[in-house]
Amino acid sequence: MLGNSPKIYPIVCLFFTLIACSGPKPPEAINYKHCAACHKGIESISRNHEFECKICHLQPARQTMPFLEEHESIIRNPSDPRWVSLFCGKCHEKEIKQVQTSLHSTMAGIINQTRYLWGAQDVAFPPIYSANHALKPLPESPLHPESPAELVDDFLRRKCLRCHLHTKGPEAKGLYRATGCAACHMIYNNKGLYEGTDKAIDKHKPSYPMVHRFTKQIPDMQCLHCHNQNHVGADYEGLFEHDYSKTYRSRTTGGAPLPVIYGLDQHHLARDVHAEKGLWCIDCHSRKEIMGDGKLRGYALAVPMIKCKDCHAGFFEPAPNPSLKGITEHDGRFYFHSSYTGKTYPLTLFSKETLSHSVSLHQRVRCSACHAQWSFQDYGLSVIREDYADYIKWRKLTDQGDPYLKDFLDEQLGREKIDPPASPDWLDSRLKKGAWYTGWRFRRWEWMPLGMDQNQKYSILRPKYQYFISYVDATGYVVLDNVVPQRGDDSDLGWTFMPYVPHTTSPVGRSCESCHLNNIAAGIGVFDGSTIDTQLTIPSTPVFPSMTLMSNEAQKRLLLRK
Amino acid sequence: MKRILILIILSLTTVLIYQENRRSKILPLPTEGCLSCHKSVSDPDTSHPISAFGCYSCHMGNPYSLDKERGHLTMVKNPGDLSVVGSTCGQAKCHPDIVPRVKKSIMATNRGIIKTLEYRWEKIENSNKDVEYLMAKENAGGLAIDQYRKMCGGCHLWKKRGDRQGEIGKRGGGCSDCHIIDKDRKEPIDVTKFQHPEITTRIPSENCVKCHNRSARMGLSYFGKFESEGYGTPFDGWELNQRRLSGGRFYLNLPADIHYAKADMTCIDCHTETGVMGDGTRHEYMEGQVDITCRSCHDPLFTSVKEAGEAGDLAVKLAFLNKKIDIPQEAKVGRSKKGKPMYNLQKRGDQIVFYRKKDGAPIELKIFPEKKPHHSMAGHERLSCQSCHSAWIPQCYGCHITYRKDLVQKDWLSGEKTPGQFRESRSYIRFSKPTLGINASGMVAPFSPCQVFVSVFDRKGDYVHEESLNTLTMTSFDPHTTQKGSRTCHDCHGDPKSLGFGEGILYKKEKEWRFRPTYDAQSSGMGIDFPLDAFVDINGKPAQLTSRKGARPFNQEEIGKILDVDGCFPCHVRYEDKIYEDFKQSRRRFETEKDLPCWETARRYTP
Repeated sequence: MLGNSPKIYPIVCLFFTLIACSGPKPPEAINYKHCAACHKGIESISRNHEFECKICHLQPARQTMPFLEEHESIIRNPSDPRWVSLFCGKCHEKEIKQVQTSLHSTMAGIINQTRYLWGAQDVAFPPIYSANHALKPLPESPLHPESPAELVDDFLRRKCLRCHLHTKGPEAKGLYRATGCAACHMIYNNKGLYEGTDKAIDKHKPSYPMVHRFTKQIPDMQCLHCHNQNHVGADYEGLFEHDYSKTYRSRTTGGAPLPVIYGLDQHHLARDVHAEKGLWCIDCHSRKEIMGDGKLRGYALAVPMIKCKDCHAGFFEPAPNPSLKGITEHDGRFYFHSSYTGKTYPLTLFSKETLSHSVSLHQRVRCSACHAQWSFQDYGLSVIREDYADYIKWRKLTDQGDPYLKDFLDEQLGREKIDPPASPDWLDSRLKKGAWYTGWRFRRWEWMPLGMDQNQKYSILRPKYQYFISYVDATGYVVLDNVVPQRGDDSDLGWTFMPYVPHTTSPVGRSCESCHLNNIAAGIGVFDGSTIDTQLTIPSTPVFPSMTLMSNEAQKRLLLRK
Repeated sequence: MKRILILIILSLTTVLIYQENRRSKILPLPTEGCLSCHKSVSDPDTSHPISAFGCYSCHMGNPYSLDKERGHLTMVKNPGDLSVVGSTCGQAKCHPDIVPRVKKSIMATNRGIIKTLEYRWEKIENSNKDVEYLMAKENAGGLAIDQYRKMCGGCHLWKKRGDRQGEIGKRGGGCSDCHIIDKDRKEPIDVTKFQHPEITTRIPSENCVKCHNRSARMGLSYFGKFESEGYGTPFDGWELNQRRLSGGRFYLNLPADIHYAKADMTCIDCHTETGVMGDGTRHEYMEGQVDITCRSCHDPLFTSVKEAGEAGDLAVKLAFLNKKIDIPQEAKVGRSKKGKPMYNLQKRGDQIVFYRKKDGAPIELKIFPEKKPHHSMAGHERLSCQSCHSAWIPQCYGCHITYRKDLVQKDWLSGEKTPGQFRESRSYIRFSKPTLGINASGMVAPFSPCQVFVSVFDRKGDYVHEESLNTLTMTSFDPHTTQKGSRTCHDCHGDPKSLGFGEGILYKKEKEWRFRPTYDAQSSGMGIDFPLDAFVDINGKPAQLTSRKGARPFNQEEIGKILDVDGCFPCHVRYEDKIYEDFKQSRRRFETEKDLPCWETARRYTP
């Protein structure tokens, strides 16, 4: 055909000549220093940061170079822990140091409690290890772990630590976010899609912030990129995960399945009254609390934070705390002004007239113990690491709230020739052999066992967790078969129930009988914990000695038993 | 001479008759051709010995042939199969009275299931369809019937036994469904000598549970099994948990029914011959056929066997067939709801004895203490035993069915794959705190959800709104989770879920009861404006339907009365407390007499 069109010859010749003349470097290579040539319309990052792009996005050595060949050498996120000192550190050294001590960076609570429960360390407090360098860096599990104590670091790295400032985690709907400062201060929508005016950014390609803008106006959606699943944060919005089995991927109105977000679909339960009113997480949770105050802390409840009584007064506080930002008084009434949402809310004050508030013993009860409408009660957590490929048994259980695992299983289950399991270590971003699968015994929202918090106040407890640990090695040998771990100091089983504040506040308290004469609240368990499954509803000792289960006397008093 | 001749003839006749008689006695019974191959087959039971019955009388076929093909012509493998049973078990000389009863029984007709489905899905009020009808007519009915055929129609007596592997294959087969003891054969059958499947009247519970493990799940609950969320935990080696049910399901262990836990009773210890096999009436629903109540045993009425006529004879016969229980020749036997004899509940002298049918062991039986304050207290007349003594009930909230016309699925009745495929999924499950309401008999009883959301998709795979439907019902049944103790007073009088509002916070504001529900069904995508676990709203307006006429949640007046009592419990904790003798009067006194001690307490707690 080519031979029949003689006109084409000169063109072909020219083409090959051109190729022959061109050297290894194209004469018109793009100089990536001219950012604005492509990124037309990109937003200014913030009023306080009106710098040239290179100031934040290029390493100092490259900033002075006249020509930049590779787009890859641009630092996409200068606030990433690897770069933050170099870029943000010039002005924000103090803040960075504080953030590095915060629980958001150290993850010390999760790490040290879990290691203690799995028998890898003698105490959970004071904390020993952290996800960063603030404490000892978290070690790696040995290649051939033989006990829960040897497996725990791998479990932490591959399951729990997907949410920390050093990793973007599994990028999926609801989970898109940046690392470092940008994890909070650059807003991502749930689809991770760019919505700004920069012409160079593909608006259909996920994993971009909504706009190129740093902000202190952080909406709840942003916090929930990490604080999701059955953890505090999701409850504020009324979310409770569906069960894992395919049986629960139900189609609802309009024949459509429920949207999957945070790796699973959700029940919608009563939202926290503060969420109903429009308050954001950061209306209560202060900068100091979130970003740290320079002190290393071992767990979330040890961090000084706002209390209900600061806004609503209490047994001993006749009025809200006037030193709190946003609280005003007008004609004897108190108001809270949210600088984030711009709304002003009249404050309902603690009333001694309320029957339950008039009972003096209730001074020892946390507000949330009565005002929480529901709670995360996830009983019996079975975890199994499999280095051996055996996927068929998981075919109905591919949805485990872990988008990486789901994609991996779906792919392997659709194949004839399968790969051995592998999954990422979120701390060092390496793909490692084996995968962790999880399952619950059962999950409930209506049961609320009570115990004592670190101030010996009655508080709602949640299982966190009741581990059953299994490990199958690459040869298929079962190294650990459903083992209940022992705490590092051998004081008890490695199971725990921890006091917490469910973010499911109701304006009215629950009934007297939700605690009094209530076996579950008193820690007797469902059906007295008489079967191997219902025994899981009997609380285990909290991790920290300052927190305890209810005493026998308190149990008897609550149950009106002699 | 003539007399001598007569004498000789007579003598000869006598000898002949004698010899003929003798001969027929020593010869074996006429031998069937079957036995030439099947030389040594064990007896199915002592009532049907092969030496007396041979094979033909049950299995038909051609007994005169020695050829396999000819011999097996017209033979039936399972004589209990309802399609042949009239000529086998039900033939005139054997059990002609039982077979017509069984064919009319609810396990053969499935009328209740079909009727409820058509009533709730398609608003057909008086459906009279049954399995036999649907087997004959392939295109009789709409979506509800298609659902029955594909999702429910695998559990009834007409189903062929052995048509599939596993549990499904054990279901069905008419008489054999219950009366054959299933044994998994490991080795191939040797035709010359094999163990004939054993026939029994001591039906093992496994025979019941192979079917009764879905829907109301009584066959599970009774044994303390609760079909779980399906996590398969705790893991077992490299496997998921071994506590499994058919269909890839798993179970958890909860407290079993006391009749099982304490007395190891089987299903048939309570469920009588008439209750299970029918009484000749083609009942609409299961509860019409069931012939026992708690009272049948715990507040029994006795009949003297001798005076009971036919019923007495039946009691003796059943006890004889059971072979383990003392035959109540001289005793009195208990009477069921319908007055039928309960041969295992006997009164010997002054002593009441309950015999366990599987082994004849006598079981201690507690007579209902009617006079005890907790039973006799005013206001509790309408309580069913189950409302207080059922510890839990399996509850499945939100049953989401996808019906796809572009796919095919097996119709259990025809065995053919036909267009239209159903798939079920759920919102969530629970077991604790059964919701109470009024059942069709006007009694307070536990209810459990059956909440169907059907999404219909056409041949192109598009959702069809007009054909899709929601029908949310609460259904009352005996949970079979009986406990000795009862639920607490507050559990019914003050718990919003038991009262029918669902989980949430029940509180009083400005002297009015209010409720803040926990489940947000609208946001959860259900398209309904009440929580999934709400049977009724705080004003007594029903939120959901029921599956029976007359069954309903508590109404506003009842709710008010129930809640009124709750405030008294902190002080008046005992059933025999005087205030409950005439609660209306006590309530009036509380409102008018300000010097009652109640007010002192109230003042103490009211600043």
